[in-house]
Amino acid sequence: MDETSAAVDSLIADLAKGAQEPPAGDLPAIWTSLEDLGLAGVGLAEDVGGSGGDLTDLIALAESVGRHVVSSPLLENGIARWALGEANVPAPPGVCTVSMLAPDVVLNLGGGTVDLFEVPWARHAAVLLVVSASGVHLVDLRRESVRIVPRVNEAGEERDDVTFNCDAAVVVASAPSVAAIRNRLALLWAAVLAGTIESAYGLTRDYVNGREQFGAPLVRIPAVAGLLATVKAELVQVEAGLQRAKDHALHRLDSAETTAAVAAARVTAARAATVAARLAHQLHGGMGITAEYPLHLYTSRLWAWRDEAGSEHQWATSLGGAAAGLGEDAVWDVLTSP
Amino acid sequence: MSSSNAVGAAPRDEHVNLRREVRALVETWRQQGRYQPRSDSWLRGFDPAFSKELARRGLIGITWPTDVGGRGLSNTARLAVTEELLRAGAPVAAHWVGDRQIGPAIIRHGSETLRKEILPGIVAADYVFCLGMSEPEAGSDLASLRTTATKVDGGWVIKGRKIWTSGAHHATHMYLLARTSRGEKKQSGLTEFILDMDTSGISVSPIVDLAGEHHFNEVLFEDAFVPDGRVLGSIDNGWAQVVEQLSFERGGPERFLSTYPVFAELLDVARDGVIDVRADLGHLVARLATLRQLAWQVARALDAGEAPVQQAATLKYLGNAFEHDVLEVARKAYSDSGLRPGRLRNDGFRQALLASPGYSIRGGAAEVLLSLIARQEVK
Repeated sequence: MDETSAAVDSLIADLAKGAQEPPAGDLPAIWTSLEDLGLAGVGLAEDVGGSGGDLTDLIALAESVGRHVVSSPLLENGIARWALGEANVPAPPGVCTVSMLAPDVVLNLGGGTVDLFEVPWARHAAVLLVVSASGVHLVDLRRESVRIVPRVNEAGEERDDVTFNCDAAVVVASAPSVAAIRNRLALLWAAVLAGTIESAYGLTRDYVNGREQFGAPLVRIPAVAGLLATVKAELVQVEAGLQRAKDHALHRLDSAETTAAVAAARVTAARAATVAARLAHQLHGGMGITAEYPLHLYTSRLWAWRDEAGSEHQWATSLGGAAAGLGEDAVWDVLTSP
Repeated sequence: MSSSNAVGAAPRDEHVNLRREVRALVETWRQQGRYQPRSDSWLRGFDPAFSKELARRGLIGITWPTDVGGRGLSNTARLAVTEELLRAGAPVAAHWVGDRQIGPAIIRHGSETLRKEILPGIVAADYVFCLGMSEPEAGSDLASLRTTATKVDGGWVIKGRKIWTSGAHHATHMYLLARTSRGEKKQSGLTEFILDMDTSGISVSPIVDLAGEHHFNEVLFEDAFVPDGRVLGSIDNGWAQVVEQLSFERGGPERFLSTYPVFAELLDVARDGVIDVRADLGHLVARLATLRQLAWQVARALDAGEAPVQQAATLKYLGNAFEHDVLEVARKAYSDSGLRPGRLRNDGFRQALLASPGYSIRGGAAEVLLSLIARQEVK
């Protein structure tokens, strides 16, 4: 971690102290702090109200968000404002959010109403950016005709059902490509997962080193050490996948290479999240199941976040479909090259 | 718009010429019918003529200094070459061990005489190496080895037995780890040697594997003499030296590409097949991409003069799991074989499957690798 990232990380750690409980359906108080401190504007140009900083800074921030399990509209608001900024469309004050549909899903705006599900933070958002095979659309959520049914994900974060009239959606001309938006958002979620897995691993490592049973620390039991190492190996993979996706994304955000590298990082992080959550609980025994002990703050996020910005299955299917369609040469040179 | 202002090559397409050269070579050999791609080719594809061809093109020992016949290139350059060879399932077993770890071990620890005597022979693919490490009573627990080297006038006399020695029946030379003294710890008192396989007192007997193939051997030493000049590094310092070798042995692409020919066929089947394996395939592609990234990181660490033992162990652990899982996804993809000629029964799949139990045992069993990874996490 470089100096700036380390400073941001400790800032986030301080803000998150005592504020890591699942938000249970409210806009978390920490969001105001993130906005006031300019952290919500990292990766956004200053002329659109951002704080500057590039994608590298934003990825480091996303890792911190994951590490300290901060629930907030940071990623959704950031990606929506970034896309609008690139398109020279002014963004309203308040929270902007985004809904990313599966890559082959078209948005039917032929008339009547549109239903979208699991839209992050919709009830608190002013506008919604919808990214689909039909392109990029902006929906004004403050219109009277918009109906929102509040729901939450496994971590208690707002994921609402939204119904709007077709005429509430307008095309965002000259927005970044759908691939660019998808890749940027999925890459950030991979970074969040990497941070959360790292923390869940750290907590687990400390626990099995400290907790004594049979007259010695748990980690002295070979089966325990083996499971701990299994999680570590997952973490190493996630970090390698993230690094690779980041290198590609910094080069070009919407190339076939980057799309594949982001898909790989997302899939790897999601699978690792599943393994880490299961084994972290297994290694903690009964202690990890309590509300008092913090493990659940991490595992509930791992369960929720592994399918954010397109599910693991969706990303795996599209990566596998690309592989089968392109053939071995391209798989080797384009989809998997280091 | 930031997303479209930089176009062109991927971030790291270094060594593209090396890759092209290797691709052209294997393609020619394959078209001429001089080899059949096979899984596990770095252990099971033995063809001295192919190794000689690589040697002629300067593709063996490419990281080694030029004064011993190398090209002074980086470990990432070597990775480009080894990746392409394994991808093609090419017969590389004759030079693999010498190029991968014995040459580098001699470069790090060998005397000037030993360097001059051995390295040019590896670079020219004249010398074929085998590894005298495991013993009947020292498998995963290598430090428990019992083969002794006893000092005599002008050299050492070797007595003992090595087992699972891949390619010993083809080898001209052996790397040997033997006990030269007994210390308090079993790790102390070990010494590395380079032996000629035609030394009297060495006998090799085959161990046929479950596929009916002969790659393993048992090697018996009955007072085999090795001259002083063939000691590698310092006497009694063998353990520290061999541990360094492990990052070369475990951190390369052969730890995840052993079943690559099956994976390549799987891509074809997935395109035309009846069974939808896209999601499984996506997971495999993601893992392959990550493993290639990890191998690249290990190569970079080696170039920086590090011995990334834990990183290499992690790569091997993850890579072997990938090799196994390729076969399982292939099995799923092939399960429409009632509708057309059965692919499960083809030679490539069968070869890979029958070789698969060895993947996660040789070079450090999965359980040993996990305990090695865990050891650094104990406070």
